[in-house]
Amino acid sequence: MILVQNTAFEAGDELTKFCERNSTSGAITSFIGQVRNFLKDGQEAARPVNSLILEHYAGMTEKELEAIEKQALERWPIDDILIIHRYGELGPGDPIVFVATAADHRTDAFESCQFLMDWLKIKAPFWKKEITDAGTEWVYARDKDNRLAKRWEGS
Amino acid sequence: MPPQDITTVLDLINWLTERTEGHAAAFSKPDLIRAAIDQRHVSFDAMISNAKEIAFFPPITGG
Repeated sequence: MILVQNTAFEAGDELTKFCERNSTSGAITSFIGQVRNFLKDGQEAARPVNSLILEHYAGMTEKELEAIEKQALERWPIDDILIIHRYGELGPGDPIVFVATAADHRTDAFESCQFLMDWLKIKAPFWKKEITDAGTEWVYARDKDNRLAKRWEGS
Repeated sequence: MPPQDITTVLDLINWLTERTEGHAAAFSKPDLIRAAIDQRHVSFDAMISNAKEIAFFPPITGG
């Protein structure tokens, strides 16, 4: 299931519900991405982040996340997938993204969860803008994210 | 609408770049531009002939 939403969610509650929904699965893995409370650029001193604004390409976001979900379901024997991604304004510590996978065994649950996050990072059209006392800055994409996603190719 | 000889995403970028200074500025760093046709990622050599919606955006930073 894919949820792209403006409203806040409670990751713990979502995980509890996911576990209840998949009580016959032996293994559940989850990942939570949350808003950092500071911004660090290389050697510069860390600056506190007041809030984060997430924009997205409505329509394409859902399509891409559904495509990623489908790939994971084809690749691993998984019972269930849940992806929740916020957009709009978020505060420090707020969950941005939640991914959970349910499978019979832990390897499939772990791997598919990591695959979903790695692909989401380079495929789902979201953009982050960080609000600090110094002003507003778009977050730059990292090359590392491309390398992390590529590791799933050809295997 | 772009002319008939504009067939790929790259052709479209080059054609748009010539239109206004704003377009030229927006496309000044092509390696930082991602493209989508009908809401799916495509490379710059993709054909645009049947496209209903073409989007350009910077590298994404979700998650």
